[in-house]
Amino acid sequence: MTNPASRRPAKARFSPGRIGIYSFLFFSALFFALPLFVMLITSFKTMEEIRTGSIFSLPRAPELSAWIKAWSSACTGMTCDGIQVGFWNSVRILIPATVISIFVGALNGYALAMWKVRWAGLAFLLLMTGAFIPYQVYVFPLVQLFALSGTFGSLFAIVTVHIIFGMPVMTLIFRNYFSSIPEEVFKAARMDGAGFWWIFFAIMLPMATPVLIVAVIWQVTGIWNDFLLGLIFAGRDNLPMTVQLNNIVNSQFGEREYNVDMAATMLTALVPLVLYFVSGRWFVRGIAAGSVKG
Amino acid sequence: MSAISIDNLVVKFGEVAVLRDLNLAVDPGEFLVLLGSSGCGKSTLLNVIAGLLEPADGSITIGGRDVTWIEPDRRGIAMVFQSYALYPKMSVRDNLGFALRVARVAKAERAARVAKVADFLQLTPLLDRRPAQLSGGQRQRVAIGRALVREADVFLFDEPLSNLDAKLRAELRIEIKRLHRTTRKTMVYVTHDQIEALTLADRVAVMKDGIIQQLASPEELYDRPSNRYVAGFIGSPGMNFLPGVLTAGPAPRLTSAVGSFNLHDYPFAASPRTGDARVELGVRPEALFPVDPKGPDAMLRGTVDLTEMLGAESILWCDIAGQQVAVLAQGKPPVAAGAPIGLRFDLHRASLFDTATGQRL
Amino acid sequence: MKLSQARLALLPMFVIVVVVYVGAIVWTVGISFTPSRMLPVYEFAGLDQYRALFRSSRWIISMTNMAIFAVGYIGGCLVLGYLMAIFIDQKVRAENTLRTIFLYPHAMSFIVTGLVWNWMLSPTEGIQDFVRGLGWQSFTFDWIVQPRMAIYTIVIAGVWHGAGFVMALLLAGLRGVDEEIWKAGRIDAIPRWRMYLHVVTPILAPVFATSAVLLTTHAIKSYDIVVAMTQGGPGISTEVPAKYVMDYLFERGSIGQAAAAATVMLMMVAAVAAPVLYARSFAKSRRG
Repeated sequence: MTNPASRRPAKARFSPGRIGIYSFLFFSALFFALPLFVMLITSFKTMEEIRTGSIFSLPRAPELSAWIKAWSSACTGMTCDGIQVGFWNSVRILIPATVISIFVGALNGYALAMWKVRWAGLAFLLLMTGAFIPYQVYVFPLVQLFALSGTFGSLFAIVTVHIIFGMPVMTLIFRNYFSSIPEEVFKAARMDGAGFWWIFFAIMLPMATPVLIVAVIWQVTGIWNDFLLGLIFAGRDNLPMTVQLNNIVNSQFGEREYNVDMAATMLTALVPLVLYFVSGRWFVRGIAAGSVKG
Repeated sequence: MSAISIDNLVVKFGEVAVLRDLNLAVDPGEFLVLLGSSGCGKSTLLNVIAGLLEPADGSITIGGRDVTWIEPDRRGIAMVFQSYALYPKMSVRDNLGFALRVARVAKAERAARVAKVADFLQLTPLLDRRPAQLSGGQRQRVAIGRALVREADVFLFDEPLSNLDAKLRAELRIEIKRLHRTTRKTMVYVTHDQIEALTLADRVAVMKDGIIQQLASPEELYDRPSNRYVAGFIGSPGMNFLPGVLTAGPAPRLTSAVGSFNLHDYPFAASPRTGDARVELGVRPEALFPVDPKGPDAMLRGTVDLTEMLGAESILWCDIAGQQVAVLAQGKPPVAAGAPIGLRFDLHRASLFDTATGQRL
Repeated sequence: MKLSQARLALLPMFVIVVVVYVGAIVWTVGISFTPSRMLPVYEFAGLDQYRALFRSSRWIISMTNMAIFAVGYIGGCLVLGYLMAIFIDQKVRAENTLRTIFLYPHAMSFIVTGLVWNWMLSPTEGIQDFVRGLGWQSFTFDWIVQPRMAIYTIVIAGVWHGAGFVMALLLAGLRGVDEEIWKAGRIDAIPRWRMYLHVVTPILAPVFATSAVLLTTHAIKSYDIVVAMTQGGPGISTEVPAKYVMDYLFERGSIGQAAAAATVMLMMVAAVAAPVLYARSFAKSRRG
C-alpha cells in the first residue's frame, strides 16, 4: 500500500511564510542599520562630494579630514578646538560619577537588603517613585542649591547630579541582587564576627560581579549620553561631549559641513557603541536592569 | 493490529544518533511505560510518536495509519506534560475547551464535553479559576482533562508526576490507573520512577542509551530481568551481585569467594557455554533469609554490619567474605549489628548473568 | 553597635531623598503658585501660572505634540518591537547579527539619534534627494520642514531608538515561555498565530506593561531628541513640554511659569505610572 504520508514531504526551504519572515527582518535591519551607514560614509566624504552625490553613495576617495577637523578644530560656539574638548570633559565627568554612583548604589542596596534600618523602606520607595519623575521638576531647586554653595557650573556639581539621579536604579539593582543571596550567608558571616563593613567589602561586593558589570554598562551609557544635566550643571568649562556636539552641528553659520557633523556625531557615539559591541549580551541585561522597577 | 507500531526508527540530534533502529509495538488498550534514567532516549521516543520531533529514518504507525510525516494534531493523540503546559492566562474552562474552540466545535457541544470531563476529574468547582490559583495536583488533573476533551485514541504522558511531591504523586498515580481502567485507551507513559512504572504498566520497556533493554510485564521484569542493567536498575535496595565462575556441564556449579553452589535447580534461559565462564549471581534482598550461621541451611556466612529499620520491614547490611550484601527482612531486624549471620536463598528466584555480555543465562 | 553603621551608610540616601526627591518636588510645586519671574518670590498667586500656561498656544502645541509623540513612539516601539521579537524567534539564521542591528541605536544618545535623522530626512541632501536622483523627480518626503508633519519625523527617530529595546525585552519573554506549552498547542491543533494571540501575548502582558511605562516616561521627558532634530521648529511646531520648562527657566526667566509646566508634567507621569504600579502591587498581594 503506498500511502502518500509515508514519504517525507519535500520540505520547502523557502516557503512563502519563511520568505515573509526574512523579508520583514531584512527591511527592519535596513531601517536600523542605514543611519549608522550614512553617518559613516558621510564622514569620509568631501563637502564637494556631498553636494553632488546622493546620501547613500559610497565615498569615492575616503578621507579622514572631516574626522580630524571634528576632533581638533571644529567650532563650538566661541572656541574652535574641536570636539576633543567635550570628549575629555565627558571622561572627567564619567569616571568619578560612575565609580561613586555605583559604590553608593551597592552600599545602599546592601544596607537595604541585609539590615533593618528604620525608615529605610519608606526612603527607598520615595527614591523609586522619584525615578519616574521628569528632571524638569528637580532642575531649578538643584540649581539654587548649587548656587548657594558656590559650586554651580562646576565638575563637582555635574558629578553630584549624576550621583543623585543614578541613585534610584543603582540602589534598585543592587538591592534586588543582594536580596537574592541566601540569608544564611549573611548569618554565617555575622557568626564569624564580621561587622557591617567587613561583610560588605569581603563577602557581598566580591559576590556582586555580574551586577557590577550591569551597573557599569548602565551608568556609562547613561552618563555619556546625557545632554540635559550636562547643559545645565557642568558650566561652560566642563560641557560634556553631547552638548559640544549639538553646538557644533546646530550653531554653525553659513553652509553646514555635514561631513564634519557626522564625524563628530560618530565620535560622540563611539564610547557607548564600543561598549555595546564589546559587552554583547551583558548590554541587554544592563538596559533591562532598569525595567524591573517595582 | 497494533495501536502503535514503531519500525526501524532512527532519531538523530545533529550527527549523534539518539535512537538507533528501534522497534516497538503497543497493543490496543495497553498501558505501556517507557522507563529509564535521564538521557536514555525515552522522552525522545515519546516526542517522535507525538510528532514533535522528526525521525531520521524508520516509520511510525498509529491505528494502522502511517503517521511518520503527519503533523502532531492529525495523529489522533493527546499528550500530558511534566510542566502541565497549561495556558496560564486562561481559566480552567478555557484551557479545557481551547482546542475545541479552535476546531470550531459548536458552543453547546463544547460546553457539554468540557462539563463531562470536568465532572469525571472532579474539576467542576475549579472551572473558573486560573492555573496559578490551583495546586500542582489540580493543575495536572486539568492537563489530563485537556487531553481527555479531545477524545483521542492514544494518550501520551511525559513524566506527568515528576513535579509533584510524594504524596500527591501516589494519589495521581491511582487516578491515572483508574483513568486507564475506565477509558481503556492506549497509553504510553514516560517516567524515570520505577514504582510508577511497575504499578501502572501492563508492560514496561526499560531503556538505556537509546536501546530497549527489556520489554516485559512488571512481574517478568522484576523476577527475570533479561540483563545485568535491568536487574540493577529495578528494585530498592538493589539486587545483590555475587561474582564467580560457572563451570558448565551436566552438573553446573558456581564457585565464588562466598562459597560454591550447585546450580542444578537454576532455570537456565540459555544453555551455558561449555567450559568455565565468569558470571554474576544476582539475588534480591527479599529472597535472602537469615538462618542459623552454624546450621546446614546457611548458604552464605558472614556478619551483620549495620541494620536499618524501615517500619514494616528492615534492611540488614551484611559483610559476606568482604562483600556487602543487603537482606530485606520483615519487621524488626532479626539479628543485631555485629552478630554473625547465615543466609539461605532459593536458586529459582535468583538470576545468573554472563559477566562479559551482561546477558541473563 | 553594628546597626548604627548601617544607618550611617544609608545617610547619603536619606539626605538625597529628603532634599531632592521630596524637597525639590515640594519646592517646585510650591513655586508654581507664586508669581516668580527671574528670582523666586514667595507670594501666593493662586492658579495664575496655570491659567497663563493653558492660555499659552505654545504650551497647547507642546502638549499636543507630546501626545502625538507618545502615541506614535510607544505604539511604534511596541508593535515593531514585538513583530521583530516574534520573527527572530522563528529559528532564523543570523539571529545574533539581527539582534545586534536592532538594538544598537539604544546605545546611542538622543542627541546623536536626532542629528542623524535630521541629516537622513533633510529634503535637499537626504532621502528625498536620493529618490529624486534615481529619476522620480516628483518624490516628496520633506516632513521635517513641514510644520504639520515635523513631529512625525521625531516619532520615526524615537521608534528607531527604542524599538530594539522593546524587542530585547519581549524576546527574553518569548524565550521564557515554557517549551511544553508550544508542544501542547501543536498537539491540540492550534495554529501558531492563535498561540501568539491567545496564549503567548497574555503571558507577556507584564512585559508590555513595563515597556509601556518606561516608554511613556521617556516620551514625557523627551527633550534632547527635539533639540537635536528640529530645535522645536519649524517655528514652534515641534515644541514639547520638557523644552517649554527649560526655555522658561533659563531663557525667558519665568520660574513660576516653568514650575507650573513642570508640575503638570509631574502629574502626567503620576497618572500613567500610578495605575500600573497599583495594579502590580495588587496582583502581588493577591498572589501572596
